[in-house]
Amino acid sequence: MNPERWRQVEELYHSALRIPPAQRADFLSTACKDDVELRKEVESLLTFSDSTATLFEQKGLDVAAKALVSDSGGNNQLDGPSPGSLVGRFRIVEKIGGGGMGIVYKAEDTKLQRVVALKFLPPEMAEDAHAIGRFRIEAHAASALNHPHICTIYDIDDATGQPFIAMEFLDGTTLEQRIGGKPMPADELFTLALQIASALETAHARGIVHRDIKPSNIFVTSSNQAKVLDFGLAKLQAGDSSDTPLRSESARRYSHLRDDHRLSFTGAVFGTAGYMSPEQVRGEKLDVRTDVFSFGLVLYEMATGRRAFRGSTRGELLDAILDQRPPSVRAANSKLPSDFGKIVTKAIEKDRNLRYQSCSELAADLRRLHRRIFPRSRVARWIEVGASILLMAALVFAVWIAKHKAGTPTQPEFQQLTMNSPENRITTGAISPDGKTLAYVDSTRVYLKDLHTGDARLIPLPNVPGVETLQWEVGPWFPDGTKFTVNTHPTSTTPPAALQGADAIWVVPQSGGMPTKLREKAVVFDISSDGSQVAFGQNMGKFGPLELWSTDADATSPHKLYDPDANSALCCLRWSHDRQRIIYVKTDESGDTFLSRDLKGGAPVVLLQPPETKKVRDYLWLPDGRFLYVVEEPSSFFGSRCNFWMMRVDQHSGQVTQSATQLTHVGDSCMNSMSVTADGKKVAFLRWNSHLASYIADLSADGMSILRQTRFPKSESSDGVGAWTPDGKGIIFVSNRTGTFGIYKQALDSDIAETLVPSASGLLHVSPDGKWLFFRGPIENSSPWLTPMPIMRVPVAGGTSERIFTAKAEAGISCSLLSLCVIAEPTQDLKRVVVSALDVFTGRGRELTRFEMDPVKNDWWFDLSPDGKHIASTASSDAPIRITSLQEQLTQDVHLKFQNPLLTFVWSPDSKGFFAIADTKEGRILLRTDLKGSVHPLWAYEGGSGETLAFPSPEGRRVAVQHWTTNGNVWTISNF
Amino acid sequence: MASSSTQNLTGLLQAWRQGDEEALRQITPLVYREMRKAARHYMAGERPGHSLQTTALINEVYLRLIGVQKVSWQNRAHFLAVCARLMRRVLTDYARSRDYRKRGGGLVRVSLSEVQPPAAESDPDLAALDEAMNKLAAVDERKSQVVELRFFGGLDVKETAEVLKVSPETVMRDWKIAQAWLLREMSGAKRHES
Repeated sequence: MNPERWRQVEELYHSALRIPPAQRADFLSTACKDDVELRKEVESLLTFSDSTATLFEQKGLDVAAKALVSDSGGNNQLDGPSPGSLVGRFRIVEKIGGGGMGIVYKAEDTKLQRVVALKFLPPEMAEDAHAIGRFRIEAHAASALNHPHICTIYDIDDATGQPFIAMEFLDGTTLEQRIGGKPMPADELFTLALQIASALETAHARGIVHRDIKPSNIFVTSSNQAKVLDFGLAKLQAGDSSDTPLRSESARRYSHLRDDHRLSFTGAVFGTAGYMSPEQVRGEKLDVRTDVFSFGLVLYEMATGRRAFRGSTRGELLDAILDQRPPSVRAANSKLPSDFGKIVTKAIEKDRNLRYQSCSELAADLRRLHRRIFPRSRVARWIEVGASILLMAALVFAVWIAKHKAGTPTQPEFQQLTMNSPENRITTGAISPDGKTLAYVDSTRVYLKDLHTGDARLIPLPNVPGVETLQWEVGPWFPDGTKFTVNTHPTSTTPPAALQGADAIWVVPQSGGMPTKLREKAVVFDISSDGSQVAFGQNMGKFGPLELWSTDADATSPHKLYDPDANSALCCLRWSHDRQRIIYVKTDESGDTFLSRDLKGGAPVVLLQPPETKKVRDYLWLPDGRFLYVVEEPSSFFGSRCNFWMMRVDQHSGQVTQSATQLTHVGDSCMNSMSVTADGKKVAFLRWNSHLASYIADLSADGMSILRQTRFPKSESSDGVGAWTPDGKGIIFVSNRTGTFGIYKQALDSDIAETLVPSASGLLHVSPDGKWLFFRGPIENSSPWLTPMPIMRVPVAGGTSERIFTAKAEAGISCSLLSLCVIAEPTQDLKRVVVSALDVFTGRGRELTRFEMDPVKNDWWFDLSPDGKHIASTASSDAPIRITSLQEQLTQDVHLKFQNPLLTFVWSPDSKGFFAIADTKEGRILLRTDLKGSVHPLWAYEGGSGETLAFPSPEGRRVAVQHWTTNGNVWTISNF
Repeated sequence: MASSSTQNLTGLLQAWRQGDEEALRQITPLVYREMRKAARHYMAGERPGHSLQTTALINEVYLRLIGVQKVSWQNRAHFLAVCARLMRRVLTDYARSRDYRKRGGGLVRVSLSEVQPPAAESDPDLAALDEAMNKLAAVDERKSQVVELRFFGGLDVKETAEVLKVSPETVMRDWKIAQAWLLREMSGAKRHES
């Protein structure tokens, strides 16, 4: 509506309001003359002019508050449920505890007929949306921890407006009660300590820090199993870094709860603050080492029966944690070897840099000691458990073998600087010249982390439209450490208006303050050692930037250094220390060539060229001439395997003075985003990997919710579940555990996977008789997207695999439970998909039906119903699910009541609906749908990307899910 | 993320206005706390629905937000406008998250049958109001602002006039037609564009 028109409407409306309703019609017909539209508009507004009472008499806050009342059931929900009442499907039995972290009830799961423990946030915290958010995120993270010594979380729910966690109901006592003020017998001590250590190792490996390890948070069941409680939840109590335990308002608010809780047991010692680490007391950002400290105090107490730190007031206690050394373990318990005391002492070092850096280190020392003091036979079981855990640790990042200078072995040292979870992985980072600060970007924001205190602070983002949808990338620091660079790049969600200039270089002051834009349509490469020149690339071509440029730090004198020839790109300039020479990469059809060049002239020197450079991911040229670079291994699968290599390139001549040697042997990750401290001693890099992970989820009786999900198989390799074994007791999956992908079979109750096909992948489908497995045969030397696809078979029981026939490119397979298998093959023009019968021996049979597909998107999907009578298909991820009956060729469309793109789906075994995977802004979501299009979300995976697939078990009680997970954290390498 | 800014809420508000969503994340709990407080009044049988009382409540939120009286904003009107915008955002977000939960979204796994039916008198839908206000702003921005300031910000006519630098009479006129326009928009009544 144009403003003039609107003004007319307004005038007439107000005029009409001034006259009695009965006369308005006449008034309007006179005033509007022939303008029917105008009259209708005013009339329709007038009809709403008297009904304003309901909404606008109130205020927004009231409306929301009322909604809150109705959400909370309008009764006692705001202050916790009462015995006998139903919360969701749980009937409250009794309140069994109330501590700082929440109120715990014994409850009965009315659907599954089992006893559970329900933990609610205390009302004070339940008001805090931030706390609720954290509660949910942390509880969800903790629920993914499946470990015999971590209390299992069944369910997380906040449907009633008050979030709660349903978890394993444990029978036994807390470790606090078990210790009971007396030293524990050594064998019991070691058994429980190793169990707790193993629980902590597992959690830490997944980026989850407990933060509140103490004897009352560790349960010992009646069968002598330690169970660590409240994983991840303690974060709430401590708040995050902006919310420190001693200073923040929230901590003050909640501290009385902790104190009350403790006082109610002994009435003497003050607060569970007694197990805080010094950094926790100081309110610093916490990492796994806080758990090491607290665990050390627990060990101390198990060994001596006494608390390490005590005080009659909170202040005294905290002072003790910060300044005092507890009496030696040996003095209190002479039965333990002195080495036990040494382990405890190292675990409770005040300076976290002097402590055990991980629970793995601590656990390894405990195990060694245990093995030494107990006869081997008695600990054989432990060696076994320990060995498997150590093996895991070794896979994580352990095997670094270095050859340096004429074969003298040295050991590069590694340090992990960040501990972000996959949901919030780090994407780039750069260490400051003095090595004291790390600038990094997680999924959305730029941070500066003080590496001494661990505090991270958020960098404000400039006020530019669309800026929040840009991807930020940290670039090099200026040598004086006062500022650093970041690069922005557009993402798929960047609004079109913001695309112009989305590729820009910004300068960020270290001291805080807004970034300022240095250059648009450019990517930053390096800053010269005197800080006077910033090198960047400009004018993107098909291989990357076409031109190398340099400018001073004020962007006042940009000048072009080099142009490539028409068919190549130039990238990644690194200055020599004296800024006389550069190393850069020239990319053309043949690949990357690394060149060094004197800026005053002369021919470039070739340092590395294809195919050697085929997978170089990043490099640095250090002032002493060392040239450190990352090479991705040929067997790497989406960044699963990279290594550092090193050579020497003379800073003046640009010639290679020492040829390349491999510096590391890393099995499971890739590195990039390299930066170096001014002294050249420490190189920071991003260590990341992507892998397939598989989960088994137990479904509720109605199949509409997930009761519990377990990572299976538990391994660090890429394991993608593809089918259930016919008995529903195991899964068939692909895995790159040997370095190449193969097909494996593993029973859910077993730790051992059986190899079916050593080298193959994908498209796993079991024939209806349960005897054969279909899979995709190897496609050599070309893209799987264009090449005809060999279809293979192998006996599910194991045996020789054979080729059946060759299907068209991008074929899909589906088998019913009873009789039929089908193969779906897109036509050459990608407009239709032809579905034919598939036989284990004769291959493709007669055509059964065909359906349309979107040739541009090319993301069709299909599945054969369990009874073999219907095909469900989608033309694209935005299209409805079309169900075609094979008998009559009738179709019916199912429009899901869910807006997001539908990526994949599979029939539920009862043929009444689908398990579907949809794309969401946050990641992936697993939905259970019926044939009318109603959806029930089963599981959301934030940060998920790539292909996610779900497979219900034949009897429909479980669903197996595979998805991609990507980690990213900053590490440093030194002493290389 | 560490900062002294939990103390400096004025700074947070300012940061939020400049597009810093992190700041909003830190302010939101405070507003929610007030919302809970109002909810408790309802449950105790009180009627904070009376606009005077609510306004007092909202003012309290503001006071809590600024902490001390030293407001470094250019002027009080500007500050009130930002607060109103904040209230709108937080309350609308709450309404949306609530709808989302009712649909069974997010991580919450509950079957629809377990979700309580909406209250007999259906609640006014703040999320729909927010959308309608966005549409109204496209037609006449000031009218949308009047609603934001009065309904979400709890300002009276005089204060609203002060913020918008118009006469109280204009505010009243805007308020009337804006209400009708928004209710019509939210009712889904067919509108014709000109």
